[in-house]
Amino acid sequence: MTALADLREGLRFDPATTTAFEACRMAQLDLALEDPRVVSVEADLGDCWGLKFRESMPDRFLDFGIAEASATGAAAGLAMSGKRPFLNTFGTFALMRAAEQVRLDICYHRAPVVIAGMFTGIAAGFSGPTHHAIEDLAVARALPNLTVIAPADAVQAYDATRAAFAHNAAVYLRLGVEPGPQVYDAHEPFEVGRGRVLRQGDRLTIVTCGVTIVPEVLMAAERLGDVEVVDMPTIKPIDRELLVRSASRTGRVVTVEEHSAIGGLGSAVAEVLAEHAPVPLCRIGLPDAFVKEIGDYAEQLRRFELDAAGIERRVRAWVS
Amino acid sequence: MGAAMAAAHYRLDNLVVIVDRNGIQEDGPTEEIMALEPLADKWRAFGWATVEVDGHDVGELSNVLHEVPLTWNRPTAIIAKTVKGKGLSFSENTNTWHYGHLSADLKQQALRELAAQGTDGGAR
Repeated sequence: MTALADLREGLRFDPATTTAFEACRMAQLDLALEDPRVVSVEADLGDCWGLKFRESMPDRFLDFGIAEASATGAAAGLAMSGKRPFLNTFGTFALMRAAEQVRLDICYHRAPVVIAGMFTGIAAGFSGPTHHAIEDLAVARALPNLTVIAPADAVQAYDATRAAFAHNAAVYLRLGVEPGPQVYDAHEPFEVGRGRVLRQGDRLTIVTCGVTIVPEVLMAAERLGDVEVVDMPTIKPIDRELLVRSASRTGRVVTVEEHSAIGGLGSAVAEVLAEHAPVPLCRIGLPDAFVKEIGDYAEQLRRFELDAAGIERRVRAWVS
Repeated sequence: MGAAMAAAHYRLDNLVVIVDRNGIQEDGPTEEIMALEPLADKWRAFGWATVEVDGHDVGELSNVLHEVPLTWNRPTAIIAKTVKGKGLSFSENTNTWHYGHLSADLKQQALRELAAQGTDGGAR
């Protein structure tokens, strides 16, 4: 049985337990079986679903230990010498601890490395602020030659991983870590740079991205009524055409993301709207502060009003 | 590495680093995943006065700390050899305890095991 068959079976029978990161790992395994250039570069997170790769292709599984800068430089070197590396590590350590190596070794050289960032947002609830990634999109968006993608669920994560590989460029995938509710029912070709209207509406557009958050927004939208929901998995390059079309029609835009309200999806949307379709905008994200509270992910989302009820409250408060 | 060089360069002989050397990282034994040995020689090569102790022997650690600086004008590295997750059946020498948390049940089990050993887990 191929990894893809495993994944599809997992999705069909137990969507509640398949995570975006696991789906990304499955896609990597499928791609490695199809393409001998694929290698997995690790920074001591191999036991987070990387074991299958290590077992089946030990000579293509390179663990650099707890040394993200070293792993990132090595991934860039492998890419420059004709391999197709996936760099599997914490989103925060890839884009902040190893920011210089991502910038100069990968981006400057246009090295086709796919950075699979896990534990993004505040999903690392028990590990605390050291492991949260709430500024990663801001860093990633500012780096030249880097494409930035935050899939909405495990199904899209699988498709986006394959698309990121086919894109043949440096890509940052933002994958969270917890299993989130399914948004997409079936696999479909993922188009880099294209958003998707998940729900039609006339009074307001909500633009969102990422595991857990997109399904929470959809639930909030059900309660809010006549609102449009746009899934914007590619944050860079962003789908300007879709944004302008929707905003011009509804006249109001809300962005929702599990990231600092500074520099992420909300900022990307604000840049487009200010220049091409100025309408009132409300950015919902995490406050400009370290998340010092330790706790379970669901509790954290409630605390920061990023669950459906919280999003509904914040949208209603802004509209009224 | 930069900090280790700077400490020796500026002769910080009131600086002590205690390395918790349990030999295990998340993916497995350090020597299999990313070898650290010879660790003491690496610290010495960077200009640090270096000793190895049993990290679970607080008396031994205390003796070394009272003798600091071991060498005038050199910072001190104490490599404390330890066992990851020591003293509990479910955590000892287990790489997944790199990121383990105690559930309510495991906490009770831990307290029972420590009581049975007649120890408070080494906290004196």
